[in-house]
Amino acid sequence: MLTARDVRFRYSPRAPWVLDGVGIDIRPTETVGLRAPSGTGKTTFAKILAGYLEPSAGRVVVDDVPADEGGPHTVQMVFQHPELTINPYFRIVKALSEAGEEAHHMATILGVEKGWLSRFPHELSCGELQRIALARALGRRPRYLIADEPTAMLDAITQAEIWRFLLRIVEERQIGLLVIGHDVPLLGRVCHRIVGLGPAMRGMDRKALPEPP
Amino acid sequence: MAGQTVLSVEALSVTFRRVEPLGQVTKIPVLRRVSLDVGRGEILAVVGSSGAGKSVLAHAILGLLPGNAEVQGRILFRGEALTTDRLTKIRGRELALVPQSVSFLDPLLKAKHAVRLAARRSGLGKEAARAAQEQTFARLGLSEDAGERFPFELSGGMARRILLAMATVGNPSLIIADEPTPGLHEEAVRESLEQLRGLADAGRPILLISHDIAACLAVADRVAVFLDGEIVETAASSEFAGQGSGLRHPYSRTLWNALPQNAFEAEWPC
Repeated sequence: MLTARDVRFRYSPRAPWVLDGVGIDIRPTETVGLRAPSGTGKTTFAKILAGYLEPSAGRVVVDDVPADEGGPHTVQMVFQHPELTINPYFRIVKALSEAGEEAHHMATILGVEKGWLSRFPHELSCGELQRIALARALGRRPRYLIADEPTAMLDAITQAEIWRFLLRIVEERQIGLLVIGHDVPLLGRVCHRIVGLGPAMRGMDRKALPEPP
Repeated sequence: MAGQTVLSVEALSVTFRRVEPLGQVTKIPVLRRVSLDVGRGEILAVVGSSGAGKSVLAHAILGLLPGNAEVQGRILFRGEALTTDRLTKIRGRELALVPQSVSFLDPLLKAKHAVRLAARRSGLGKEAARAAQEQTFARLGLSEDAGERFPFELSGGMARRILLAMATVGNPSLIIADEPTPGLHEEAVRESLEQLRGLADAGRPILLISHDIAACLAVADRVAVFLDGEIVETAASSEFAGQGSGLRHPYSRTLWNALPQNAFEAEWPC
């Protein structure tokens, strides 16, 4: 279980709270949607869960141990703009190798073509790059994956294709997935449940949703 | 539905020339014989995957293509060809762009000054620009307080409205909106699009470029579907319904059915 409790965050001791007492529980094998208006701290919360930021107060526990104990962080994150997450001077093959052998294997499953490997990031489309970013994150064998609007900038066909691959992988590997997004029909399709940003116990919305495909 | 035609694009082809390391020149076609027209009071949505040439179309109309682009075909604005000279005169006056990213806002200008500057550039005098800015703010539901803010103090939805205010303050005859909604939450998307609809209803034609077909359908009259630099179909918004059986081209149907609220299937040999 990926658990966050009473997480508070602000950028400096005098700044206003960005997050004020937020929590969540994600079980492995579960896909959870997180939905809240822009500017309310969704991405900040995601970064705290994935270890990019330290919470000012509160705690994040992954399967009862610290997430970065010995080896890669067990919570990996995929960002909304893949073009900003890959070194522009690395060819794709190097960007994948950075994340280890497993990332190459994941790339094959995600439909990355051989021909893309020798290219630079700017020579791929956003949809192609997002697959690379996913392969890199999954290549670290995470127990949990946080996806921050991973397909918001993609057309419907590319979106459906990426989700088909991604849902298969998280099911096979029993990865807990947190999807941040605004697109209600999409969240309804891919998530077991949708929560808002709030204390985990109270903020949870367990209303019945269609089963993910 | 569509009144008098304001913009018509006739068999527009755009090719990018690339010089290879050994001096050979390769030509990469990005638009192939694209034809469309937009009339008074109409919103024409242009949808398709990224890389299909949607933005190239916008840039071609606005004369913003890079130097290695070769253009064939005609672009007529109010029945006359859009030449470089004419473009320079009417860009920012009769022809307005709502840019893709809120990063287009000048970080050092308060919102009201950004809008007044846009009004000045459209040819208004200082006082008239101030009045036009205030009117536009009232029309778009922007408070006086919003005008006092710098871009970093604006929420995503507000920043979008400021961009829209900048594009419309000079009372343009045609608005090109390039991906005006990504990254906004549902309500802000609806709000932005309703404002575009309002502008169209007041007579201004709008070319709405977007990959978000679901959002476009809510406001557009017609939808042009792009695939690999070609328009495969221009259909009325109402034809995107049910399983898409009213659509003629298989790609339009696939795009429609790929939406999560529909079948969520991606069976297209990309």
